[in-house]
This record gives sequence, structure tokens and C-alpha cells, in this order.
Amino acid sequence: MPVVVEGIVGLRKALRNYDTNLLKEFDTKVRAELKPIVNDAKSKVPNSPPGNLYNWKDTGRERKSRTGRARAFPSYNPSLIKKGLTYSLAKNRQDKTGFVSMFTLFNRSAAGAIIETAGRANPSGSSRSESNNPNAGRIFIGAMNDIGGLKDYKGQGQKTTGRLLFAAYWRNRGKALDAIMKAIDVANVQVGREIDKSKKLVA
Amino acid sequence: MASSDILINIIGQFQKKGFTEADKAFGKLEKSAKSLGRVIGVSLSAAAITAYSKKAISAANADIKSQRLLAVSLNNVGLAYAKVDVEQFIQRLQEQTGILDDELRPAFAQLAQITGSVRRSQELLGLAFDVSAGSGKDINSVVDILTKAFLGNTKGLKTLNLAYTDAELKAMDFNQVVTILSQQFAGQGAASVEGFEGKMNLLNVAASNATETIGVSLITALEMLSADNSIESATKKMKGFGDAIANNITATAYLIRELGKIPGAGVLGNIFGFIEDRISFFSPSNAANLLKQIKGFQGMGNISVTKSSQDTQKAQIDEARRAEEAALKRQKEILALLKQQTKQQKAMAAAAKKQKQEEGILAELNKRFEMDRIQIAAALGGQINDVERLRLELMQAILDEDVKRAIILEGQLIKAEAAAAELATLLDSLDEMVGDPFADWPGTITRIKELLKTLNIKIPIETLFAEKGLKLDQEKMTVTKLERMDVNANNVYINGQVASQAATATAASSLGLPADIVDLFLAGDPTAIHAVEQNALANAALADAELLLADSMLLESSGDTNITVIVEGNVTTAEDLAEVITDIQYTYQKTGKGLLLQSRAI
Repeated sequence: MPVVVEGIVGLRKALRNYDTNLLKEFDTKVRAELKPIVNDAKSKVPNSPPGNLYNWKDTGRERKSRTGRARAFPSYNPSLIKKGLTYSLAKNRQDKTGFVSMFTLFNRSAAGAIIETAGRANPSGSSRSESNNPNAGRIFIGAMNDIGGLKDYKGQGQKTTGRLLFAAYWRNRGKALDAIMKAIDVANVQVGREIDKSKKLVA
Repeated sequence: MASSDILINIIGQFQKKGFTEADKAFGKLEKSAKSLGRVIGVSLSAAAITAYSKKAISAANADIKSQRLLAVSLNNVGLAYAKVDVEQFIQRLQEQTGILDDELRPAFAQLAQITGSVRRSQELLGLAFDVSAGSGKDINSVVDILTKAFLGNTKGLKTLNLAYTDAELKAMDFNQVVTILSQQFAGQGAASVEGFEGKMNLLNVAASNATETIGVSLITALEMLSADNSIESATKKMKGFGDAIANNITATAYLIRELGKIPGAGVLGNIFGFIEDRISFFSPSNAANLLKQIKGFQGMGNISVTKSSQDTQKAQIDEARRAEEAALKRQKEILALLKQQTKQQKAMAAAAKKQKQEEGILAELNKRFEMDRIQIAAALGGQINDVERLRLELMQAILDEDVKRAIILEGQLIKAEAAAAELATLLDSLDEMVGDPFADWPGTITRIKELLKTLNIKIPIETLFAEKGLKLDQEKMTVTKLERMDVNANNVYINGQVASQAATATAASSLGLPADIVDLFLAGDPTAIHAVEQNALANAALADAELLLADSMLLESSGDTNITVIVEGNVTTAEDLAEVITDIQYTYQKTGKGLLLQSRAI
């Protein structure tokens, strides 16, 4: 009966089944490509709030929501933001288009997400802003741009544009993706060899 | 992973799992829309038109057939007057829900057969759509469940996950079920239409309807063409018609394309747009309207102007009212029957449960005893203590199959036996307590008294202590070893009852004592007690003497008896003598007296 390896999910399973060391080797290669991107993003996180924004720094005091939302505006805590910049080699949930992601880069913290995305929909601030200061949005986005401009890593517009992680991936210029694809090819060949070995043993 | 996470998916893989519904939706649309598209804009060959025509005619035929079936069903349940309204309702529902009329008609017919009401059927079909969307079941399955529930079978409702137990569902009437379903699945149908699959279904319905409409037109065309009853002629004409249409469409398309290549020909495009509008305007319905306009005024639509038409409308309204009333009455009857049936079932179940329970109890209790009724009655007539009485009464109740009484007595008996066991344990422990300086005598004495009272035992507590060789002083609450037993006639226990004063006197007189001595004796006078003892000793001595006399008399009476044998005639041999003696013995025995024979006597 022929052994069929289908897709990366199947490849990982095959690596695990034939030799866990192969899987470890494969994961190490992928990690080696993802980690620099995350580190690059982390390096862009300043120790104090960008633009020296007054009162955004985390003082340890719990903030209370000043709007109707249950969650307050998050404080700026560089260590938390850096902690939120991470990667995963675990398969995530299927999205609505039927795809599962095999390797993912994350910007998990709330403050990190704000820095990442502020201004990508309305570069001069939202017209629906309820702030007493009509220029608040523009000033905030300007402060965020101190970290660096918004970069679209995929060329698909707003949803693939950001300052920290997305910009780091953009700076990577697809090197990581190429390396990972190469690692997949190598692993694929390795699995093929293992399968051949097994066939010979059976024969 | 929160949905708000900012992330980059490096490499993804498509997984088919979870996309079967979308596939289905695409598939359905493909079935109807693809073939429609083929004739409209993709392939315009005569063969394609013929193939599509066949399919369209088939679809139209199926549609007409299902319409007729529904009409017959409505006729059969007395709802013929509502055929047109029902058809309009189904068309409307089809457009709103994306469910094909071919599915809706049988479902409606099923509901109409059960409810007998158009209004009710419409409501339930709407509800079935919501439930179908919310539960993932197809509409016909939901209608099945609803019709069964209407007739009191709530089994199918369980599959809808209503968070009610079987018993609760059974206890509900149909209106309650409808209310619950309406609440639980409210808005599900509308929401499902908003989704991707819903939109696909709506497209599917539109495409199917278009196919059916074209099919109906083709059937009409065929009928017109075969007016001379010649199939061959009709086929030729139809083929020619198909070829002509195909050629025309192809030619038109060619013309539009070629004209488009000519510089400055944009105006011509507008002209073809105008022509397209005109062609589309020439639909059968518009043609019919045009014909009407040509023929002149033919009526006022749904408004009756003649007397006969007004009568017909009135009759229809009356019929509808009567049908609704009949449906309502029928529903009430069904509800009443269901209630009655449920009540009977409950009563039967309760009776069966009770009987089973009683049988179980009786069987269990029967194991404890093996005496029959007579023995119990005899025993009850005798002198018995409380525990024994309870046992006997319990046995009697079992034999009488009086479960209620048996249960009560069983409880009493268990308590009494426990109390008796405790009393026995306490009395057994008295010996040990005497030597114990820390013994709780007041507590023990109180408990023994309580137990005696509980068990209705009339033996005085002092007697019980005396039987154990102990003397109880209730005033001082002390217990000492009994060195001398004083008999107090007041506490003489005879056959389970305290002897009365008369009984005491009788007892005293049986001792041969004067009444005043007895009184003193009862009062505990030491002299009287001594006298009674002496009297008792004297009586004992007398009894001994009488016994000796009786023994001597017995010995005397049981001594050797000499029988004098007088032989008449001569005794010549020993055998003759034995024969004579035997005859005498027989004669003696005949008098009824006993005879002791000793071998040595002979």
C-alpha cells in the first residue's frame, strides 16, 4: 500500500512518526527563521511611550475605562509588549476560507496591537473620535510613527499593514518564507528516504 | 487565540473538512444555474437549447404535478377554496426562505391534512422553517416532528434539543410546544437566509423558477405547435424553432461583437440595449396583458362586479370560516382526547406501580412468617406480650393482604424488637454494673423504665432486678445484691397481668391463711412474713408426708398378685394347666382390669 504524505500537516505527522529527531530538526530550522523577525519587532519597542505621550506609561495603577467599554485603554508596558511579540509552530484553527496556518507570528498584547495598527484605517485620526481634543487622533498616530512608518508586508492593504511585527516581516523581505519552504523540501526528502527504508525493510 | 490578535500566518494549508456545507450549496446552485447559464450566455447551440428545453419541460412538469397533488390534498381536507392563496403563500415562502416549492408543497399538504386549517398550516410551516434553520434538519423532517407532536407524539421533539425532559415534553400540549419552539428558534430562518448558504439557496430557487417558467412556456409552445395532433409535425416545428432561436441568438451576438469593433459604433450598442429591453418585455405575461388591451376591458381583477361573482366570493368566505371552525373544533377534540388518554395512562401506570410495590412488600414480609391464619388467631386469643402481639397482628395483616396496616405494624414491630433487644442488653449488663462504682444507675434505671413503658411490659422493674439477684431502691436510686427475696403479692406477675386484689386474696386463701395475716404480709410485717414462712414450711412438711404416704400406697398397689387357680377336673399334663391359666387370664382381662405378667410367676 503506498504511503501518501499530503501537505504540511501530513509532513509533520510523517516526520513525527518516522523519526522525532527529524521533526525536531525541522522545527529548529523554522524557529531559526521566525525568531529574528520577532526579535527585530521587539527591538523597535521603545522603553518609554512613543512620542513621550503623557500618562500612557504603566505606573502599576489599574486603569478604569472612561468610555462605555468594559476594558480600559491599556497602559504602555514595554516588557508586556515584547512578551506579546512571539511565534508559534502549532497548527491553528481553520479560518473561514478553510485554511489552517502552520507557522504564525503574533503580536498579542493590547498596547502592542495599538502601536501596530494605529492609523492604518484613518491616518489622521477617526472622524468619529469622541475626544475633547479634535486633534487627539492625529497627535497619537504621529507619536506612534516615531517608532516607524506603517508597512504592508503582503501588499493587501489595511489588514496586512503594521508598525512592529508586520514591519519586521516586511523588512525580512521573504527570506524567512524561502528558508522555511526550503526546510519543508528538505524534510520532505528526508521523509521520502525514511519511507523507502521502511519499504525495503518490509520487502 | 483571541480573534483580536495581530498575527501573520506564514504558511497555510487548505483543509476540506468543514466545508461540505459550502460545497453542497455550490453544488445545488450548479445544478440549476449552470444549465440555465449554458442556454443564456455560454453555449448557444441548437443542441444545447434542445437539451436545456428537455430539462426545463421536465422541471415544469414536476412543478405542475406537485401543484396538482397539493390541490388534491387540499380538496380532500375541505380546503379547496384556499388553493390559490396557498400557492401564492408557497411561492412567497420559497422566495423568502430559499427552499424550493417542490419541498414546501408536500410539507404544507402534510400540515393541512393534520390541522385542517390553512392559517394554522401556514403558521406551522413558517415555524418549521425557523426550526429547520436552527436545528440543521431539513424542513420535511421538522414538519414530520410537528405533525407528530400535534397528535401527541413528542418523541421527535427530543431531537431538537429543547432542554426539556421526556416527561415535561409529554405533559405539554401542542400550543405550548409551538410557543417553546417559536421562542427557541426565533429569527433562525431569517438569519440562515443572510448567510452564504442561504444566499446560495435563494439563487438556486431563482434559477429553478426560471427553468420552470421557461419549461412552462415551452410546454405551452408545444401545445400550440401540435394543435393538429401530429407529433411528427410538432417535433419538426419545435426543432426548427430551436434552430431558429439558436441561429438568431448566435447571429445577434456576432453582430454585437462585430459592430463593437467599428470605431464610433457606441451608439449602436445603445440601440441593441433598446432591442434587448424590447425582447425581454415580450414575455408571455406581457403578451397576455397586451392581448387584453387589444381585446378591451375584460373585468376588474379580484373585485367582483356581477351578482354571481359576489355570491361566489361570499360562499368562499363562508367556506373558509366553516373550515377554520371545523379545524379549531377538531384540534380541541384531539387535545381533549390526548388529555384523557394521558390521564388514563397515568392512572394505569400509578395503579400498576402501586400493585407492584404492594406485591413486593407482601412477598418480602411473607418471608418472615410461616404460620397460617388459625394459628395467629389462636395465639392472639392467648396471653402474649406486646412484641408477640405485634408479630401476630402483622402476620394477620399479611394474610389479609392489608398492605397499609402491614407496613404500619412492620414499623412498630421493628421498633419494638429494637427496644426489646436494648432492654435485654441493659438487663444483662446489670451484673457487671454492680461492681462498677462509676456505673450510671439513674440513667440505666430511667432507660429501663422507658423501655418497659414502650413495650407495654407490666412486670415491675424491681422484679426484673430481683431476677438478676439485685435489689433496687428507687427512692435512693441504689442497687445492692439481693440477700433475701421478699415476695410482694402486689407485684406477682401471673400470665402477663398484675394480679388483682381478688386474685391476691385467692392466692392467699390457697395458702390457707386468714385474711388479716395476708394483709399484714402484704404490708411487709416481719412477724406475718415469718408466720407465712413457717406456714409454708409446715405445708411443705405436710406435703412431704403426703407424698411418702402416696409412695407407700403405690408400692403396695404395685406388689405381686397371687392368682388362685381352681382346676376343675384332672390336670394330666403341664400343657393342660397352661391352657387353663391362659383362659382365666383372658376372662380377667375381659373385666377391664390390667394384668402384669412376670415370667417367674408362670
